[in-house]
Amino acid sequence: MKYWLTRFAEIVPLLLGVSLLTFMIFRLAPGDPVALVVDPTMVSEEDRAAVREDLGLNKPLPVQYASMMTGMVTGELRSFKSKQPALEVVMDALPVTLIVGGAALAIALVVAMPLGTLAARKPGGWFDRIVSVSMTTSLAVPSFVLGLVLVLLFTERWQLLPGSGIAPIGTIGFAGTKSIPYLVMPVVVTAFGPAMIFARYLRDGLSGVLREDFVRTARAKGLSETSVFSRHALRNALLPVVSLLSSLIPITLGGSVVIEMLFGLPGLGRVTTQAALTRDYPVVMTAVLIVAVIAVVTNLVIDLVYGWIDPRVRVQ
Amino acid sequence: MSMHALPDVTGAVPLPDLARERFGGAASGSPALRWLRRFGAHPRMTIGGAIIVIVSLLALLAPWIAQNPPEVQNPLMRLAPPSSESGYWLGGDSFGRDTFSRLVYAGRVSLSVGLLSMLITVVVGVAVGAIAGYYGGWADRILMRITDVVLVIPTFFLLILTVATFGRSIGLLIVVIGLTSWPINAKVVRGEIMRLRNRDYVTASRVTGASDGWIVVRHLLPQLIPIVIASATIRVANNILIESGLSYLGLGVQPPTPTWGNMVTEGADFMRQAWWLVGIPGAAIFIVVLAFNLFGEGLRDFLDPRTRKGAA
Repeated sequence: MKYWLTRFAEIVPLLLGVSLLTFMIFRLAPGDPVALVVDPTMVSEEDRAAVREDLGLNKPLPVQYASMMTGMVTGELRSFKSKQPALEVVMDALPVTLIVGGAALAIALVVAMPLGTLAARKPGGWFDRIVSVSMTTSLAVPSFVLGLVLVLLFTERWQLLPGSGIAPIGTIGFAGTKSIPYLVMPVVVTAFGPAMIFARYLRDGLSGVLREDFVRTARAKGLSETSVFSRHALRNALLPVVSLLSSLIPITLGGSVVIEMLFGLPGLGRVTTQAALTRDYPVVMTAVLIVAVIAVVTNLVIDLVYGWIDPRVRVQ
Repeated sequence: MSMHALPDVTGAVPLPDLARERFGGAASGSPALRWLRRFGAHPRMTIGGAIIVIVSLLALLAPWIAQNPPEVQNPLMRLAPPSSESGYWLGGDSFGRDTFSRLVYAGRVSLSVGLLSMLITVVVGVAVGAIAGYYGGWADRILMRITDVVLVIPTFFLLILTVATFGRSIGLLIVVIGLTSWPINAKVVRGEIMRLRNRDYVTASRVTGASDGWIVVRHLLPQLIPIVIASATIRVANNILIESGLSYLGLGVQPPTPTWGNMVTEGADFMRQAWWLVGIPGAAIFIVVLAFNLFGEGLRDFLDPRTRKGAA
């Protein structure tokens, strides 16, 4: 119980740190920070003064920080473009990003399982070498180049899959199963890198575990190779894969930016990039905070899962 | 674990066993020949290193290699396919500019952003890791909290926030990429320093009155040089990928200054008629990133006594 509580208590400073960092970047901005939160094209001197008052830019820094955060939560911090509360803009875009990222990581794991397992059966064998080479190679492929190649082939040349957007023209947002073809390529591109990394970790973990004494014992007492593999080895080899997940989640979320811009998906990455390009600062700031919160929370969940799979980590 | 001889980085690394087996018998022949053999035993490092050298030379010598200035527009060469006759070996882009010369000039930008931001990554990573690992306690806890914060925010979002706040310039890009990518290096350095800090020779040095700074700089950091170099090389690859991604999005290096990333963006609109406008800069990113990764991985195996045998 104490373990869960301390794990939970640890995310508080982490979230505080993330929001402080965001605030600091905002305060370090050159010139008048008001220009960042009020639309620079339509500010009168009164507006400026009002915002300065609102954010308390003349007050001590902790007060400013507090009012900025409350402004974000209460929706007073609004997008320049739509005048919607920034938090709403971000939350509307979030599902697309989470669906694509979640599906991609799940598929990556499913693909990696047989690859990693087969490679580990004969370390140094030809299949193992192929997996190892593919991983090094795949890490060097920029996602936007892979995405463009897929669009060129599947959309332009063979006209099999839609290359942009999330639903047929005439519908807004998700269109249920009609949206699936639109998500195929984004999910594949997102899953590509993680699949190879998972496979490599699984392979390393498995080939290590297979040399352990308890595996030899299991074999010696006459268990079939399949049962040694699935009951004894795999479970232990999955541990590093689970902890790998916690570093892949921020990476996948970050990667969503490029993927969503390329495929025209109305997700968080696209919203944030467009906001940055049009200097819609409130949206950018809110998006960064939300995405960091998601990364922190999912990391916590993974830690809890880890503690559940492997009771040893709970002891310390 | 402590029994492992630490890799000697002065160059006196013994000839790997595998090379000896492969080439039969003791190391013989001229020193140059021996060097060649050693490289032969580490194909990843050798291939990666060779590509890095070639690409760097192309970028350095860009003004002499490129036949046409990268910004000159030649309407006749608009979307021209690669050919050896026109002098536009890799064809022309949508403005009729020479793709080859843009490619080599872009290499200057991409490589310098990758290398310079890596320097920042290494300096910050080593400093944070060394302080946290050596002192432990509160310093460690605070520094590791900060490391976790930077690690947990998806890099691209942090970069976008900074670009939105401070505007776009190459210098800023270098600083920002460097300042967002140090956490992993810091963790590696911290772990190593923690492993080393209670060794007898460190205690001996402390007993004789050496200061903390002296111990870290003289006794601990030199041992980390191989690890730091290997991870720095891989860092260059990552930072080049980040730069190209940002430039692709229009948030990095701004046109008309060419980088591989913004060349892909400009080519994407004409991909249907001229796939090579995406393919060529895309391949450039791929090859260079692969080369740095291969070199870094190979170097790590080459320097790590535990994997030296299987390195080839």
